[in-house]
Amino acid sequence: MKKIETNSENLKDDISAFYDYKIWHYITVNGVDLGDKMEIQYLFKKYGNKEEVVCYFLTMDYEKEIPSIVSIIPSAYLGEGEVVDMFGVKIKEIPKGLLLEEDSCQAPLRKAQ
Amino acid sequence: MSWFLALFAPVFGTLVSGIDRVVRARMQRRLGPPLMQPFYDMFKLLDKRPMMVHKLHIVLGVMHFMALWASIALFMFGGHLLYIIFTHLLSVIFLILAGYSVRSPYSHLGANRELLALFAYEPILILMAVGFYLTCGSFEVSVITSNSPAIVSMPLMFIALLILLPLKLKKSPFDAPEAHQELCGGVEIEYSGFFYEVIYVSKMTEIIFVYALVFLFAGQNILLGIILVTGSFFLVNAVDNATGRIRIDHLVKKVYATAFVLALLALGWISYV
Amino acid sequence: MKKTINIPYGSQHIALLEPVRFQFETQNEKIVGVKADIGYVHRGIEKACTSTFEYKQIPSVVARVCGLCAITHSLTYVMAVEQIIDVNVSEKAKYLRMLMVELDRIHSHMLCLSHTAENAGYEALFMQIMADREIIMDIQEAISGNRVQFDFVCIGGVNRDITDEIVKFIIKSLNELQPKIEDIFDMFENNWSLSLKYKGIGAITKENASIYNALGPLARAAGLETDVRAESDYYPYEKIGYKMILEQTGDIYGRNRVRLREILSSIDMIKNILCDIPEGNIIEKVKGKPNGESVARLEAPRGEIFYYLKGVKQAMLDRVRTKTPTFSGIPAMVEIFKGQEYGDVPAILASFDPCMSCTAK
Repeated sequence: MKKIETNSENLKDDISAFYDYKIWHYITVNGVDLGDKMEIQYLFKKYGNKEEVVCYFLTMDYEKEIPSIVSIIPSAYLGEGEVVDMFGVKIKEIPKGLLLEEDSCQAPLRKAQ
Repeated sequence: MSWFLALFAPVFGTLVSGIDRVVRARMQRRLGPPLMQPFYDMFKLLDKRPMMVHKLHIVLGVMHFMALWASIALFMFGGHLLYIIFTHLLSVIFLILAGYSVRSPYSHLGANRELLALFAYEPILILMAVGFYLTCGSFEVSVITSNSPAIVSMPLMFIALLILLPLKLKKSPFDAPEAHQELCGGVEIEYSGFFYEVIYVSKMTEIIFVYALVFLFAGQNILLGIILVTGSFFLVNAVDNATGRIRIDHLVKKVYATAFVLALLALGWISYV
Repeated sequence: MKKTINIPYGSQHIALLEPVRFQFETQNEKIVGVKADIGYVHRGIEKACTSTFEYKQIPSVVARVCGLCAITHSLTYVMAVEQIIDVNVSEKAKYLRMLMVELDRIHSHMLCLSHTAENAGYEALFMQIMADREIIMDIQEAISGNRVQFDFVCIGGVNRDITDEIVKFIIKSLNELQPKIEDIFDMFENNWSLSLKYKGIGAITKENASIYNALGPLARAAGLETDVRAESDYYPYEKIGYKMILEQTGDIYGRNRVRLREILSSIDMIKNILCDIPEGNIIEKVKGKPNGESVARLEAPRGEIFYYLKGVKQAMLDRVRTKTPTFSGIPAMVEIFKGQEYGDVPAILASFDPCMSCTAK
């Protein structure tokens, strides 16, 4: 897995410069709790090619809000929605409630709880 | 005899439905339910808690059954064929109104489709009645059944009726009006318990109505009538097991393109040949 | 007066196998809007994998995500974890794993085809395909001991070896199955009512398929060349005669054709696998604790399945992320539904082969 760092300000620019739907297959958005902050990963793979998976990642504080990449990759709302539900992070324009209901436990994969 | 047939038409219909289920299951390499399963279903429905959407809905359902039963009774007493077909039309319209009277989208779509199907088959039934009038000289069922077999003079009309059979019996390929995977039964969905029983029994009665029309083609020859009914019964089941469900717009197109044309040709045949 | 009808499709509906809710907005029967709600069967498998179970137990845990996909889930997890611990899997174990994945593909595709037929109102074909599917279930039982939900794969190899009798039995059964599949193929090609129901219905273009990241048979039916079997060399798929199967139409008919041709090609591949299984151990000893990050991808019957793992030198993993094919397929599905007739919805939905237990985890 090839990892490339980015940050919340440059995320949309980086992804839109990198992503071409004819070449890259968007896999998913992933979240990893590092203990004191969050790492959000955006995973891609080239079509018809045996190269390794490419991962853009950014680290963020729990309370900060990051932009959504739905305007670049329309199908990303599901992956982002899952990260929002599972870790309780904030992503612009992505609502809670994809997998969890309001009365179930919130942010189950967050370590601090 | 007429009294007996008219009164017990729903029971016979249920029995035919039981045979139908076994035959269809055997065609699909299954064992199938016991022969009396539709009767068990009937008794089971009586035990269920009845739920009412509103009174008009129930009243329309009951009127659907009564009108259908009346049309069967008219048939058994040898009445006027046009009256029979229009009483049957009335019963279907009650059912469609019942479908529109509730707010369930499934019921609405089912009523839409039932209405479209009605437009598809009703002209052909009327043309068939005209055909009987032209061959036998009367609309009276008692006259038609004492004449020589009408199938000889209008075989094309019989084929047209065969095309309508799956539509009336709600079988593939023409079962779009009730389509359980799409509409969960369409107009019948909001009935429950004892009130569904009424709709259930009228479905069974419908079977008798349809096969009675088939029987009519044999005229006075009862043996030929039995052969026609049995043959069409197996044909309908074989077709049901060899086709999927086609969409309602295709259904209307196909029925007009085949059955309607055949019925017109049959009338032309009688007039000019 | 309101111009559109709102039709709820699910969460419980006759044509659905698992709970999912689609809210269709229709004008008469034409669909103008769709909303999907997928979170009905969320069970917290990811949480359980990082809080209750040790990494050696997890193959059995993720196998319980979904009964049909058991082998692909546990296998992808195992592939990911083998990258971050010190273990070399023998060639024989790799062949046995491939064998199971291809068998799983056949039976899953047959299940999907049967449901596509049933939801198009063709009950007899449903019964026929389900009866023929028993052959594959019997093979799976002979190999792994279970019909579904088998814990065949473990870290370091596989749990059971196959004997010569089993090999003979498999080849005999597959020879029996092949003409039956060709019969079914013929039915899907030539039946009049099915052609009305399938051809040109629920189509997606290649362009849209790649914009919405369609996967598996859904994408390959539209001509998009995506198949993990061709995109990784972890397994020797070229050696056993793998060919990518593509169709150009993108409709239900194309998806059925992709599935049927993949079944036939899987049958050939399984025969090749059985011919040249190498000698060797089936299981290697596993030492150490997982450390670091790893990802693994595998072509499940429904498309790409993806696992991300992170270990911190403890018996318990730090993070397990599962991405299932249906989860990625939902945006493309929602896109396809727009503009279709409501009467076609059950058949279209069944042709996606959605697996909701996988999606919600």
